[in-house]
Amino acid sequence: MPTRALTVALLLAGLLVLGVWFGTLQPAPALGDYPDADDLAADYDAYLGEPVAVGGRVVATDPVTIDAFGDDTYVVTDLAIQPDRDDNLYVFAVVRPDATLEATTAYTVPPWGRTYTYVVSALAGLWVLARIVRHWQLERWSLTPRGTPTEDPDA
Amino acid sequence: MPDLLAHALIAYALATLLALKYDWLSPTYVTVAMAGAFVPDLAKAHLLVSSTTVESLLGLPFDWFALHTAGGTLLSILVGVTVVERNERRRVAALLALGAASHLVADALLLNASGRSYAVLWPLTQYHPPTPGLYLSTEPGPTIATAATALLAWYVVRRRKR
Repeated sequence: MPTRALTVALLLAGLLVLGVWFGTLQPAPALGDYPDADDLAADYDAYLGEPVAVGGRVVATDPVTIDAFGDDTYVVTDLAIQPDRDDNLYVFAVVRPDATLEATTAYTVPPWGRTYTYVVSALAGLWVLARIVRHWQLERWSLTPRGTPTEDPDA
Repeated sequence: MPDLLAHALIAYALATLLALKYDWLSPTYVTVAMAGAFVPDLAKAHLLVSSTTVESLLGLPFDWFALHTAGGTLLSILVGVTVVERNERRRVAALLALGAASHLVADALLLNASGRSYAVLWPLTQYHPPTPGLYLSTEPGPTIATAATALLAWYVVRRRKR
C-alpha cells in the first residue's frame, strides 16, 4: 500500500529531524542537564569551576585517570572509592585546570558488569524475536497475528 | 538501563496481568508489549554508528539519544502501528506504548552520579528529573527481581484462567 510506505517514510524523516534537533541541545544545568565529556572536549575552559557528569574507563589508579569513551583523558581527584584498572568510572565532578575533575559523587562498574549487560540483552532480543516470529506473520506488507483467518469474509 | 532482559520481563509481567482484564490479550499481544520494551533502546544504534559519524555524514548535529525520549519513542511506535494490519492497530498501539513507557520509566530510576536521570519528556522539555538511583543497568539484581515478578504473574494468570 503506497500510503503506508509514505507514512513510514514520513515517520522516519520525523525521527531524523528529532535526532538532529536533539543534537543541537546545549547543557542546561538548571534543568539537571549537566555538561558531559563531549562538551568538555569542545571547550574545556568554558566549564572551569562548573559541575559536569563524565564517565570513562579507568586507565590508571594513582592518580585515578579515566579515558572518557572516545574523548579525552582526565585525572579524577577527591574520590571516596578506589576504582580498579579497566573499571568504568562515572563521576559528577567540578572541572579544575589541567584536565582534572574534582569528584563530588562517583560509582564504578566492573568489566564483568558490561559483559553481563551485553550478553543478557542479546538473549532478551533473541527471546522476543522468537516470540514475534511465532505469533506474527508478514502478509502482503502488513504484520498480522498468526491464526488470523484469511479467507474472504463475504464468501 | 536495567538490561534489556529486565525491560522485557517488566513488559511481560504487566501485559500478562492485564490479560486478567482483557480476554483478547493472548501471548500474541503480550509479545507486542515486550517488543515495545525494546523501542527506546533503538538509541543504542550509536554503538554501531556513532552520533559523531552520523553528524559528519549529514553535515548536521545529530544525537541518537533522541530515540530514547518520549518524542522519539512515540514516532518509533507509530512506525510499528503503521506496519501492522489495520484491525490490529489500536491494540498494537496501546501495547507498544505500554512496553515502551515501562522502559522509559524503569530507566528514569537508574543510578546516576549527578542524581538526575535523562530528558525523558523531551521534546516537551529538556528537564532531567531527579532519580532515586535504585539500580545500575549492569547489575543482575533488577533482572532477578523482574524475572521473579514475571514468573509470579505467569503463575497467577494461569491459575485464574482455569
